[in-house]
Amino acid sequence: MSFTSLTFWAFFAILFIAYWFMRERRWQNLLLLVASYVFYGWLTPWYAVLLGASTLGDFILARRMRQRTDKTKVYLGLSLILNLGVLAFFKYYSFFNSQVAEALTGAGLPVNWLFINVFLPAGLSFYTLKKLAYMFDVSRGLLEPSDDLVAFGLYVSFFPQIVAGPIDRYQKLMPQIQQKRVWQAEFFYSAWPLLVTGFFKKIVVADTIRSVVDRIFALNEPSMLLVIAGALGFTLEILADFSAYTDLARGIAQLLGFNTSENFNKPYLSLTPTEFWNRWHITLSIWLRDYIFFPVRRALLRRRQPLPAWLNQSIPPLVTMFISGIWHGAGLTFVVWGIYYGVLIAGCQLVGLRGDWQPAGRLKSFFAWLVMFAFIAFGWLIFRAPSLSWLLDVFQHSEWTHGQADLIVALTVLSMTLAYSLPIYIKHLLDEYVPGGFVHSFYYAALTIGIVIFTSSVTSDFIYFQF
Amino acid sequence: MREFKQYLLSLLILTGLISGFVFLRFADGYPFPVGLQFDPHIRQKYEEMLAEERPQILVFGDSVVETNVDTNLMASKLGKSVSAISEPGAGSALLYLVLKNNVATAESRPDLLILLFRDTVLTSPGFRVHGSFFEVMDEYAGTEDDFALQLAIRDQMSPLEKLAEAYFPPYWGRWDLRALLVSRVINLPVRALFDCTQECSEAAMGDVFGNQNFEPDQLNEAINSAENFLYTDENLDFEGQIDRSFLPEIVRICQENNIKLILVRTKILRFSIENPEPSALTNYVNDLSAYAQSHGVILIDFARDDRLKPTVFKDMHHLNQEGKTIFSEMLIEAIGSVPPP
Repeated sequence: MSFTSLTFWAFFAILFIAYWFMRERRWQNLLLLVASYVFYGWLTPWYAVLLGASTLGDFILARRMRQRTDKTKVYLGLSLILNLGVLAFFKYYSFFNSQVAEALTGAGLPVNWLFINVFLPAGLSFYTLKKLAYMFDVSRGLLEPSDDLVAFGLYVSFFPQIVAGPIDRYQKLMPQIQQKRVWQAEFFYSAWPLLVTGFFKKIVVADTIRSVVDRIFALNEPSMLLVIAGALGFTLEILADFSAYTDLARGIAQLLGFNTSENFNKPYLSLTPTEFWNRWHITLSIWLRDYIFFPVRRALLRRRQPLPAWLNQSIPPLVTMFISGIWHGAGLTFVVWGIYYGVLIAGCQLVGLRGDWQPAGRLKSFFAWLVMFAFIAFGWLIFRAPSLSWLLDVFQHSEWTHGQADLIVALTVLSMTLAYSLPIYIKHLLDEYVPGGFVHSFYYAALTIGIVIFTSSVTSDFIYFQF
Repeated sequence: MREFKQYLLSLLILTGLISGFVFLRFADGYPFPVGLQFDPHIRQKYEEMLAEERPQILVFGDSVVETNVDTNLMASKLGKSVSAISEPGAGSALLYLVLKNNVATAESRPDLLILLFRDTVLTSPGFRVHGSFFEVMDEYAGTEDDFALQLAIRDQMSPLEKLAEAYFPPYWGRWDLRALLVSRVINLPVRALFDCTQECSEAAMGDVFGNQNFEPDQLNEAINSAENFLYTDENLDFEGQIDRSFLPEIVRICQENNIKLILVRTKILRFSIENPEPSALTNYVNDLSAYAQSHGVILIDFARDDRLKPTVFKDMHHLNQEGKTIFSEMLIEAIGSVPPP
């Protein structure tokens, strides 16, 4: 079910009424758990079965971990095999089977058995990270394992978050699941601006710009100018699409009395790659920082024979961003995109440009922003390219432009990108210079009219569903 | 609370302003007509073609007719005159309109109509009816073709959407408002720099994004994704769809005009060992076959024919030159065994 479908809102209306009629927290949780599984298994019921089995597995392993502290590593290992094994199988099977099939065909072996349907269950990457964080924290003694299967199941499957995050930690969500929730009008007043913004960014901005961006990246031999326009278009599309999902998820959670994490904080205004990752997909960045970056850095610093300082500084971001790349997808473009950010972060840190770096003076700040924005857009170009060979071909063989028609299209795409990014930019300005008041309300009303004008019976899926 | 009240007030003011603009600029009356409307002019391109060529056999369908069927080969082997109507991207709504307003009205009608289709196209009336597809439909439709609008457009809308279309000006005027945004804002730079109008800009888009410029894999993926519509539970339910589709009318028009109808299900590369045909589609084809038999229509199913190997396809749907010859031979063989009308 998509948040922008009528089916979802009919489902949510029924849930909302039933949920707030229930006074008991236990019944509310049970209802939310059932609703989350219905939501998740709506189109493919076995996704819900997989979710249930893996949740139960981790629930049991975490409790065993606490009962048998001498075997913590064994149970953690089992959980890692369970979670990463499932993730790796669904995420990378299709990527590898064609290559294995090619090798086997070459050796004269039958390969039909390889071609079974393996589709990545939506949101698997997201709820796997939630469960892994829980298991790591229990193994380190930072958390008491849950003894309430319904509450734990709800933490993992909470439907506003299950498909594309935010990846809220157990410490943030579980206390809210365990506390009594009574309807307050404040829930609605916090939710409506998020819902309006989310719908606008998805329906008006992301879906519109996507229609041309997809075409550019499907071209055989696009001109360089068209690729630049496409990269800038995608830079807007992915922010609008993903932050729209987060806004809607947060708004829906608010209506159910839950406060979930922000995932974006004006990421394209960053001046360094570290700052960008502190502002982009924040809950993923924090996860990577806590469970990959810090442990790798600690391991390097604890080495008996210490590595040179520059290596100690460079390896953690490289490893972290490499893992971030393969988490995003099976394909060389994602790996290269991850390494690209690893190199950028490591390089900036080596020359002293840390996350909080601020150049002196507005002009210098502007140029620093321009350079970083170019790096971000280039990163999205790698990320969105259909293949690495396509990208290399563009750089090696493409002309700047193929003629006037090409120029007109490139300019139109740039103009679209600029026009559709304006509402997002205006919001930044309002937040900065006009805090609160009628202007904000008028802004949301204008967005609502935009939604009405751009509503179409068919909307495409959110990009981050695929990760 | 206060912000929300301000929001509602702003929304009211903006709705009033936009509604006023829509009434002044685009509307003729109220409530508004639901869905798109056809203009009175009907293009007679194929009626004229049929009058000139006077074919005994007419092969009819989307671009697959052009790429898969060699009418000269058919004519020479069958000893009959053969013509073709190939409307790129046609869904069943357009096929119905061309049949009704050009073929059935032609002075010289064919004896045999071979209609090429894939999977559920004939009973999916909402397939390819928006945007540029609607413009082509409009070319072959007149104001009296309300039945086509009902099936292709209005029946596809939810009750809420119909209500909004009829009574809520910003929603009814959304296409015009969007067109205004494109022409006044988005196209401003190209108009200023190249003196390029909306039409010129659309022509440039058509030039740059022509099918021939796409990566074959990407094009196939895009086609596949757009065709998902044909394989929804709703569209795979033959019994549920048949009375809301154009197929009964296509059959009726052919019968009333003494045209023998042959439906030919073409092979496509959507399904394979790794992605086999869903059982619902197999059931659908069985139901279609029973329907055709009960209405005196012949159904030829080439969808699983091994003579068309993946190597003779140039994309998901279309055959290369070698495939065209193979397919035409298959068609000739199948038609040869059909009793004359």
